[in-house]
Amino acid sequence: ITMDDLNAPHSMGTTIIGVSYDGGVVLGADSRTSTGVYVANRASDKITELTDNVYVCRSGSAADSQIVSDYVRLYLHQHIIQLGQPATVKSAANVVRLLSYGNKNFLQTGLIVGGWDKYEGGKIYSIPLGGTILEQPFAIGGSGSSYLYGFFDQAWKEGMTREEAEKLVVKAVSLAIARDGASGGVVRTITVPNDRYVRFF
Amino acid sequence: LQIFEYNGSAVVAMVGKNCFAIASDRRLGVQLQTISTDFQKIYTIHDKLFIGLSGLATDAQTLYQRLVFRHKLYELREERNMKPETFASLVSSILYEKRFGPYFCQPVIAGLGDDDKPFICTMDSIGAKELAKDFVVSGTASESLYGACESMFKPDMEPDELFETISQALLSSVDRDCLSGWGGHVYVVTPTEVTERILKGRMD
Repeated sequence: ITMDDLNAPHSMGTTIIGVSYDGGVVLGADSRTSTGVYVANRASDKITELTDNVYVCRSGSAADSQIVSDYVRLYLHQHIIQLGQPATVKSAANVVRLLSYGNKNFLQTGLIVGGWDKYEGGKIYSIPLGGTILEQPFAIGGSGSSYLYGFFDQAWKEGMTREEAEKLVVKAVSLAIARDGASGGVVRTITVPNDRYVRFF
Repeated sequence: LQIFEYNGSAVVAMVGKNCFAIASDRRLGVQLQTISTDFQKIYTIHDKLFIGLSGLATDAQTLYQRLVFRHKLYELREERNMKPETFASLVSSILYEKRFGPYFCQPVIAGLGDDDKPFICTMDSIGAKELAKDFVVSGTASESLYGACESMFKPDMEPDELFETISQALLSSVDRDCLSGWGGHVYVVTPTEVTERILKGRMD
């Protein structure tokens, strides 16, 4: 590593995953933040709370993803005050999308928004570079996700239980951590079973 | 594309009391993708002389093949093994031959010389030798290794303590490097025996 590397922008070469199950969603991520090839933080938390019932997995530039999350949290809270009830996952994801798409020339961050609301239940929205929004039963992102496409083709199925979904997420992140140099550390997961409370692992 | 950060490696050697230890990580990658998790980076020249080669894997392998060739010729002519100091000069000269189109490797040489006195040295990719009395490091994790060795090393350690020290220094350093890791390969060499051990480390 050289001095350029130590001052290089922090990037979260990462593995992030969101899987919906019957009754909620499970979000997972690794915990490595790298500057160049140096591991700046080996226990970072890439799953950020947007509201009680909606979380986002962050990948790409650490600074960009943090600032986007902060703005989304602000706008969503203002929205909730006006609305008078919890935000839907769809509206949270769309706020993220509006920021990502509107600032596409400046931002370099891929996000996976997941949560639960009373209208649609557990939902996962993928917002890659450029600001596309895509609702999917499961989503993978980050540099480590390349190694998981085949795995998910084989291992994911519709209508999984919560335990199955949690196991799948942990296994998938572990596999990506093994192969991807930019992913590592621990596997962090968050399960959102409903809007009352959220579980941390 | 940083040529020294293409494959990833971490190599370290330490001097103990009438013994030395040389250790490396086991990962071979192509930039961020891990390809192999048991890749050998430390080679035996003869039973009291080891060389660890960090940097570009293809150059490390080719350089090792050339060095083994030269040592075998030396053995045939001189009817004895090469001293570590002599071998270091040989490596240095082979690297400098390619001054303007170098091998992208940074060797770490460790051996027992006359009267079984431990010898270690490292050099850059064009053969600048650096002798040291305590430890030498090389590879993508070298800066972390410097820090770890500087704080953990003490002189005249017995083989068992030396093994513990070099292992801890290696594992904690590669954990801060994306491109090295997947365990460790440690050789502890005394005048009478060579102990080779594999370390189980973080697999990320």
